Amino acid sequence: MSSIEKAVNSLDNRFDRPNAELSSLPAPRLVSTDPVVAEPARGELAAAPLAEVNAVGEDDSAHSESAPERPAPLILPVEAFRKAGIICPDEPKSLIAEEYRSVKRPMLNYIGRQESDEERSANVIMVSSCISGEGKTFSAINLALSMAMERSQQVLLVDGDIAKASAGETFGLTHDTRGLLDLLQETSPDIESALIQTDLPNLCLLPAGQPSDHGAELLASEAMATLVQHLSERHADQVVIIDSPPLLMTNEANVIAELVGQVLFVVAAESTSHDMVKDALARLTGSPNVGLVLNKVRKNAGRGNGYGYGYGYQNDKRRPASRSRS
Amino acid sequence: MQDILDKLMLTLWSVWRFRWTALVVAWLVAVVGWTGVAMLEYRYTASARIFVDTNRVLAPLLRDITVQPDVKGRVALISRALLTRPNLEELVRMTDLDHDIDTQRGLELLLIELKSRLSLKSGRRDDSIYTVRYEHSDPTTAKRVVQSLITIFIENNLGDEREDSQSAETFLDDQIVAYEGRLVEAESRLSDFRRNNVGATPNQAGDYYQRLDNASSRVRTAGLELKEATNRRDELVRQLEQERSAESNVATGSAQQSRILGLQDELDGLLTRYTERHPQVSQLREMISDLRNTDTSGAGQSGELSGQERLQNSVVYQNLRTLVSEASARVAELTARVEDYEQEVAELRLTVDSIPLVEAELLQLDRDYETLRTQHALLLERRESAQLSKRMGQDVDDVKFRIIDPPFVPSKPTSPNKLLLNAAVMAAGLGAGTGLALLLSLIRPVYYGQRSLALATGVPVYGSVSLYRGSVQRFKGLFANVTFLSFSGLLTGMFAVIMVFQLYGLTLEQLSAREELAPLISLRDADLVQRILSSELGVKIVNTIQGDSS
Repeated sequence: MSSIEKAVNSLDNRFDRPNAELSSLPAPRLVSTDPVVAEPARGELAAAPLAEVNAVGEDDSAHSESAPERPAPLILPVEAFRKAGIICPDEPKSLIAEEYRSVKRPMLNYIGRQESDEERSANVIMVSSCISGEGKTFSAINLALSMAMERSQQVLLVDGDIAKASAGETFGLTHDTRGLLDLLQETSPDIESALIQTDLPNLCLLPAGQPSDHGAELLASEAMATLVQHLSERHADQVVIIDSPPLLMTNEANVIAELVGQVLFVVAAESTSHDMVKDALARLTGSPNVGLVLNKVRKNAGRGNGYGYGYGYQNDKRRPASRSRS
Repeated sequence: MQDILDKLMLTLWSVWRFRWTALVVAWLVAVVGWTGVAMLEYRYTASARIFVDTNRVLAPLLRDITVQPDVKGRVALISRALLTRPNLEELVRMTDLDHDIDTQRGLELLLIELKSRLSLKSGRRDDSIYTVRYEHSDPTTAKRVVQSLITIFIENNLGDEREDSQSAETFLDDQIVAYEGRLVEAESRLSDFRRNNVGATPNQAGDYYQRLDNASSRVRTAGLELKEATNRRDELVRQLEQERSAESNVATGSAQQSRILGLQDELDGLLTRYTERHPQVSQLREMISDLRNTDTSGAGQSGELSGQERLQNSVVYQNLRTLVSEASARVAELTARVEDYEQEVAELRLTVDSIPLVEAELLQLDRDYETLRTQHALLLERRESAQLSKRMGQDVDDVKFRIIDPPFVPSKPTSPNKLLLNAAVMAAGLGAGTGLALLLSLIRPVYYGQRSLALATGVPVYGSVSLYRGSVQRFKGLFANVTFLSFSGLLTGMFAVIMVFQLYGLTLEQLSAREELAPLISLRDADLVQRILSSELGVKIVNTIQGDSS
């Protein structure tokens, strides 16, 4: 970790908020000298203007003050998230947040339990599904956000769905943002420069990159394995979440599955048939740890959790004081 | 229980998944079905009840069958006996059912169809009352057919019966005439025979053997008598000779002596036969005593008399001679009689062969005659009884067929029950839709809950994430549901409309049918007229005037 980051962390501890899990926005992690850029407006939609931020970030990297080149962190498009039903960091007790808390827990436990000399690293998680439209990207982003709210997890969300790149799109990145494919094509890639820090301190992004015709081959190459390895070892508590293409529709997912240590398989309720799930899971037999999540469950159809959420927090007895919402 | 509820909910959700398919299928089935039902023709059934004297109708058929079939068999026989091809052809002719059929094949088909639509059923226990039914899309035609059929039955059977009795009568008459001829012939034969065999025919005395017996005994009796008479004569002749000789031997003086001796001998002879009290005996004794007396007194007085004179003077001698002649005559008579009798016996013996034969033939002729006579008498009796029954049949009404309920067509059609069919079509549509949805859901099952996913795959499920829909999506979903419900509502509405329309249409149909039927009530049966007038129009019959049917 760089010295600047250490300083920022100590700043955090000094504030000592009662809700230790969530660091609310805006987190003062910006190291950009430009104050205008440092505090972007709230409530903006995830759209084109963020490209400017990136560009600014890129430019800024050239002249950051006292730290290595660090672009301006990407502001999470919270309103867009809210409209899409994605976890909003300022609503830690929403239904979706609660649901993903239970989803991430076993995965984190598995990471904790993992032997050190295993070939594949348990902290590399692939998120996939049978076919498109089941909510892989949705799940990947939610998982990333949920895990990023952990106290000591560093989460890197990789957009491995190189055909659609919807994860980056949701965050507001353009399709030509430098990313995974670019890194794979470069001979000696500068990985850190491709990673995009968001305004959640624990969360980074690696977009898909410039579209290429040989995406599948690139993903299957040795370079990808090396990259994944490097990414997984970036920090001590690093978690790499790879949003991959559908398992049954492409071959890349199989390839990625070979490199990861955990797979979160998304199944859409009332949509995916039994056979498809069976086929897909059959393809994943090589992966060590596969877990399922049932997405798009109607409250009254299946019984999901069924026992309600928000225990204790609806009657305002012990609500934390001065929660700022936006 | 919870599992059952879960499964139920699951099934419902599965069907809901394919609700659009279900709706389309339901619509298709309903529309097609309703169109089909609307195109069905109404059919009316005309029915009439008739009384059938089963025994009499079946008599010609079952005449030679010893085992009578049971009620069911007889009913079937009746049906076949009445719905014969000639009857059906006449029916077709009478009701003009063949007005648009030209070919033979068409006629055949029509007859087959007619036979299949006509039914003749009887009550279960009673095989006398039958219900004739005919089904047709036009109520007037149906009624006409039933009416015509009944008419055919009645007319045919009257005709048949008359023919039968006529032929029977003719037959009997012929037979009687034949027998009479034979009878006359037999009589003449008999009389001829009797005439030819006069002597040999049995008389009151008895038959041949009896006669022979009688004759033989007569012969014996006569023979005995002859023998007696012969003996007597011989005896008398001997006595006469003795007397003569005695007279000639003895001297004159002893003429009297010899006479006395002669008389003595005669007395002895008489005494062998008669007692003392016999007049001849007493007379002879007197004579003897006289002679003895005169002998003593007048011995030698008249010794000059010749022997013959003496003989002639001798009373004894004369008596003897009389007796001898009498006896001879008797002997001759008896001999003749014996001969006669013997000849009779001989004659009888001669005819010993022929008389029995004749007797036998006579017996046979008698028997033949007797038989003919009896038969003739029987035939006469039978003819009489046939005539009587015919007269009886003519006087009493023919009860082979009798109408109990005249043909009647209810104004409500018997089939098809379109109301029911329409409802059935709707049910079928719903069922088909739901069934198809279920089937599809079974073919392509999905997961609804975390539990089933975990169970099915065996892979741990970390959690389930609720469906989140933005306002746009929610609106779209709502819109889709509303559309679906409105289409379903439309289908239900159509069903309701069709049912109401059906009811209304049924009423219309009944009214029109009733109008058609009104003028066709036939006035053949007075009972029917009475019934109609009283029930339909409320008119009471005060008086009925009997007229002739012409």
